[in-house]
Amino acid sequence: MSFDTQIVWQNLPSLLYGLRLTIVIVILSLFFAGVIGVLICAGMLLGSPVVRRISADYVSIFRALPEPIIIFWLYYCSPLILNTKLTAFETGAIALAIPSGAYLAEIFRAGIQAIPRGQIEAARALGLPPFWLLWDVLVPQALRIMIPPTLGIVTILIKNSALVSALGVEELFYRANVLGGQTFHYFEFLTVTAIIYFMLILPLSAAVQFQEQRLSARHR
Amino acid sequence: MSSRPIASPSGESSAPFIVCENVRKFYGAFEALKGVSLSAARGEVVCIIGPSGSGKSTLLRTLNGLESFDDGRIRIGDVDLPGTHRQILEVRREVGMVFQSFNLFPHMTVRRNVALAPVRSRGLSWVEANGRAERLLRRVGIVDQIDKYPGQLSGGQQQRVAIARALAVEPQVLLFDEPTSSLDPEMVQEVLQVMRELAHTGITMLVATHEMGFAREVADRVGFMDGGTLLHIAPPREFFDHRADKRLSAFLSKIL
Repeated sequence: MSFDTQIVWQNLPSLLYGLRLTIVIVILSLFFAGVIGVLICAGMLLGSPVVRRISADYVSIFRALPEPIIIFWLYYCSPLILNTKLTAFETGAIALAIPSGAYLAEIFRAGIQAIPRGQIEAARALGLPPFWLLWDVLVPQALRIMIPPTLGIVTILIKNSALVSALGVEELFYRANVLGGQTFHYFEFLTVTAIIYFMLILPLSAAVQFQEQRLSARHR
Repeated sequence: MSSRPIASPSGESSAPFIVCENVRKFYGAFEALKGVSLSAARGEVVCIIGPSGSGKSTLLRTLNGLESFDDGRIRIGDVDLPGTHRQILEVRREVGMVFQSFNLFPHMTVRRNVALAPVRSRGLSWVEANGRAERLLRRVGIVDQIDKYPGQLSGGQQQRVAIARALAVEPQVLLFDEPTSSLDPEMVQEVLQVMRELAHTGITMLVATHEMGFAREVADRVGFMDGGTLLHIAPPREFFDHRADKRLSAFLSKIL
C-alpha cells in the first residue's frame, strides 16, 4: 500500500472547493443557531409561562433527536406539510442549526444564571446605570463562562456538517467520497480529508484549553 | 473623606439624613419588617445587632433600594423611596454598601473594581478614577495588591477593597451588611480597623454586625432587632449596661 500524493495534489482544488462549502455551511448554521439560541434562552428566562414551556420543550426535543433524522426529515418530510422547497444546501444549514440552537440556548441560560446575585446587587448598590451594569459586570462574566462550551458546539457542528453530504451537498466529505470513487484512491482522499477536519478543529480545542487555563489561573 | 452635602444645600447638618418610619416588608406571608422606625443624622454611626433572620439585612437593603418595602416611609436626603429611576440611582451614589460576601467583580483588577463606579456613575475620567482608586486603596492598606484580581486576595483584603470601592463614589452613607461575618477570625480585626478609622471621618455608617466590641467602642447608637422589629436603640453604654429589653438581654447573654 503506497500513499499516492500525486493524485491528491491533482485533485486538491476540488477538495478545497468542498472545504469552502463546509466552512460556509458551518458559519451559516452557526449564525442561525446563535439566533435560535438567543431567542430560546430569552424565552426560558424572560418569557411568560407558556413561552417558557415551549422554549424548554424545544431544547429537550432537539437535543434528543439524532442529527441525521432532523436533516432527512427537513429535506424529505417538511415539504409535504410545510409547502416549502428549500435547496439541499439551505436544508442542511437549517437542519444543523436546529439542534445546535438548542445546545446554545442551554449554554447561554447556564452562563447567565451562573453569575451570582451578589454581582448584580453590588453593581446596583454602586449606582451603575443599567447599561453599564450589563456591559461591565454581566456580559463579560457570562461570556467567560459561555465561550468554552460554545466552542465545543462549534466543534460538533463542524463534524456534523459532513452529514449533509447525504443530501448531495458537495461539501468536504462529499468531495472526498466522490474523488475516492472516481480515482479508486479512497485511502488518500479520506485520510487527507480527516487531516483537514482535524486542522479545522485543532485551533478551537486549543482555544478552549487556553481559555480554561486562563480562568482557573485567575480564580484559583 | 470630604462630605459634600448634595441633598440639602441649605444644609442643617443636624437634620437626619436617613429617616425610616414604620417600614414594613413582606416576603409572601412572612413579615420581615414589622414597622421599623429609625433615623440617622449625618456623621452618625449606628450599629444594629440581633439574631440571624431578625431583619437587619433587609432593613439596610431597603435603604438603598435593593429591596422594596410595602408600607411606611423611607427618606434619604431629599428623596422619598422608592422614587423615580433617576432618583434611585442618585440615592445609591449617596448610600454605598458593603456586603457580607464582598461581591467584588472577579473579572476586574482591584484597581478597576474601585475605579469603575466613579467613571460610570459619577462621570470621572479613567485617569481621575484610577488616581482616586490608588488613594483609597492606600488608605485601606492594599495599594500593593492594586493590579491583582480579587480571587488572589484573602477575605480580609477583599473586604477592604470592597470598602474602598464603596467609598469611591464619595457617598454620604455607608451601609455595612455583616461585613466581618464571612471572614476567618484572624482577618476580622483588619476590616474592623478600617471601619473604625472611617467612623471618625464624618461619614454616616449603618452597620449590621455581631461584633459587640466594635459596636460598644465605635457606635453612637446601638440598635437591637428581633423578629422584624427594632426593639431597642440607645447609646452603647446605656444599651449594653442597662439591657432594657428582655429579649435583648437574652441575646446578649448568649453571645457575650
